[in-house]
Amino acid sequence: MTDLEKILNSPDLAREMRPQTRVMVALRSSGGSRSTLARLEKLGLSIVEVVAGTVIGDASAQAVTAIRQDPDVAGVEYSHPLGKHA
Amino acid sequence: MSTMAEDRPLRKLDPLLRLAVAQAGNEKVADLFKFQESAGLAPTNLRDMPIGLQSLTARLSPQSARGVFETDAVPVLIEATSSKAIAASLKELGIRSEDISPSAVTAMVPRSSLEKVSNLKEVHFVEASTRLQPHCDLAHVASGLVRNGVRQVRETGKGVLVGVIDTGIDTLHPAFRVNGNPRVVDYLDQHGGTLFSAAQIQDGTAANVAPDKEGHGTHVAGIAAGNGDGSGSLAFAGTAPEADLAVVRTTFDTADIARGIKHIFEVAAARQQPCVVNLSLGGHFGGHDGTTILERTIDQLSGPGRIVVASAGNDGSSQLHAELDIPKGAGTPGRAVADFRVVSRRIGTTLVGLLDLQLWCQREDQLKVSVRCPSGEVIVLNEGEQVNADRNSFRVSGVHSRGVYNDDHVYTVRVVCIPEETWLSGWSVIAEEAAPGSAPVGKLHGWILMRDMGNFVSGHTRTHLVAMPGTAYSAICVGSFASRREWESEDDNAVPTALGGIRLGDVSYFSSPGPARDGNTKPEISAPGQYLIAPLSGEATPDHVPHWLRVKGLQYTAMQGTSMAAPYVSGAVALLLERFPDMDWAEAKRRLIRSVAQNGFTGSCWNLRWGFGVLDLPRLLAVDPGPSV
Repeated sequence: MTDLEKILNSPDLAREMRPQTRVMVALRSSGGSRSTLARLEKLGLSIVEVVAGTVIGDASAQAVTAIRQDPDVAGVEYSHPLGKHA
Repeated sequence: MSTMAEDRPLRKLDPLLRLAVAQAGNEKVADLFKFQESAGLAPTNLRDMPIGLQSLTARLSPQSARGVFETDAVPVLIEATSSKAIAASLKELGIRSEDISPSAVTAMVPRSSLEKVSNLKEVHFVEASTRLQPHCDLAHVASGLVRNGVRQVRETGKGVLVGVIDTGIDTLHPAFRVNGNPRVVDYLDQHGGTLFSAAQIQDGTAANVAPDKEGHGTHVAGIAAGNGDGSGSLAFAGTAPEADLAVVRTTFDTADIARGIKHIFEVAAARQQPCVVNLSLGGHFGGHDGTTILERTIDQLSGPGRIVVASAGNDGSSQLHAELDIPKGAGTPGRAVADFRVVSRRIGTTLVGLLDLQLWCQREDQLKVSVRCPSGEVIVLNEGEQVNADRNSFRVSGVHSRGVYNDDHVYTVRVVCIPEETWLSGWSVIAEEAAPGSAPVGKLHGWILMRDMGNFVSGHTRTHLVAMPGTAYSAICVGSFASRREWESEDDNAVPTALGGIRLGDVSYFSSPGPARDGNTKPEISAPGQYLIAPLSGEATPDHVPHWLRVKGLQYTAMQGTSMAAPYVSGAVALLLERFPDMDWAEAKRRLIRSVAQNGFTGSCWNLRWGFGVLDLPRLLAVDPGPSV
């Protein structure tokens, strides 16, 4: 095992670099129709909440690839942490 | 009757000192000061004083008051041609002085000598030593909210909901209570997913279950809407001290921030209140042009009576941004390089180099972007292709995709390396035209996402550092300037001497400069953010709020950052919403921009550090904004 592999296999790094699942899905129209939301769920999005034109939910990397292709989806971003400004 | 010749010397005397000369021995005046001291020096009591004395007495420290009216020697500040010259002249009059600048001294001057001192040819002005505390925080002086100890605007934020999405709030702090009842009307903890009831906020359950251990949210909420209780004579009241508060203790994840804003606006709708939400947070993931999904969500949620204020960020002195100008190639593709280094840091107990980087260029440009490793290997990021280069001492992963809303090219890179100098330094980003002339705009912006990850060592600029979501089109983005550099600390010995180097009134060194990548004028405005005194969370640990920051004897603390400047403006927006409940963000921005104060520091037009100028609260509430800007 190389030095890098040892680092990457440490629980600290594994936790830090674990695959993100929370996503923000931007819809082309605000709110999202029931049929759109149902389709996204079928594609593997576990919906948490709809905020304006954004669907917030959890999805695997494979599901994200499929969700991006949906005609009602403008784009997908992984949720990520921001920092305090003090 | 006085002649002009007799009046002239007195013109170099502070009006208060002229009063001392003219009314020496006047018992009524002396009694007023006794009343003022015993009454706790509250501005309401000042209103009971005879007109004319209000503004004068409000400025006096108790020591000055005694000096002017009860004892012989008066503490004064003397501005002169030079401190050395005036010190020598004062010495001849038997008065000891102390230098405070090359052209100013402090001294105790007998009342009988005041006129004589003001007559000295090297003297420009003799000023009474004035009170800095406890009537108001210096930030309020800097914004014009308080003058001579008296609040200058009628609005207090009554009927307005101020939302704070942050580390939580100490709901038990007296600044957030009225007659023992909580002013926090809604408290959502996103860590546990708990929405606390009014009863749980009242009985302290919320404070116990969702404490603000970092103290950041409590401080931020206090700047916007604390009522000053517990600070002595309401010294450190917030900008909108009668507003209601809704607080989200957030995970700081973008998805949760979007949900937090939605939640607070729903609370406002249910209560039929106008609302401003403060975001003293941010990051560098995104195109810095208002097109991340979080920013677009903020735009969609904002509207009449629904306004978001965000801090500009604290990266003003960082090297997190690089700008690569790609020359237009003739015959061979144009090429530009920016070098960067990774910083070793501890994640848990593991020491590692871990850096995230994002690069953006406009959709018209066709570039070949690659990462050059310390080994000399070049890893190209092709569109739509996930790259994973695993080597013995480092790993580079990256992807070239398109922005969700702008279709711009975005290159996202993660470097992980062993924490040895050989692998921490010697990294580069290389951008070259895919073919000669294929990049008509020819500009690539890069951001390292956090300061502790690393920095650019070439190609870096002190521009475009305003953080997302401050770059949201609808958000009011706030920079910071200095209004305080001293306070009575809980730990006097530990106060850094560097504070003396802070130039009051100047932009804070850390305040992130704009503009946005699309040229949008961010930040829009600057407000006091260095240092502000506001409520200290009872649960804050010394790790987060060290003792030297804490104010002696009070549950208040100093903090600095654009995190502190943003809520100052959020409070100001709450005052506007009190008067104009249906105001939208565009109108709020128009009024803020039209009413800014400009000075020698800010210049007379928008600039990337200050925005359009400095918040001026009395003007904000008085000035008609005129036509759209």
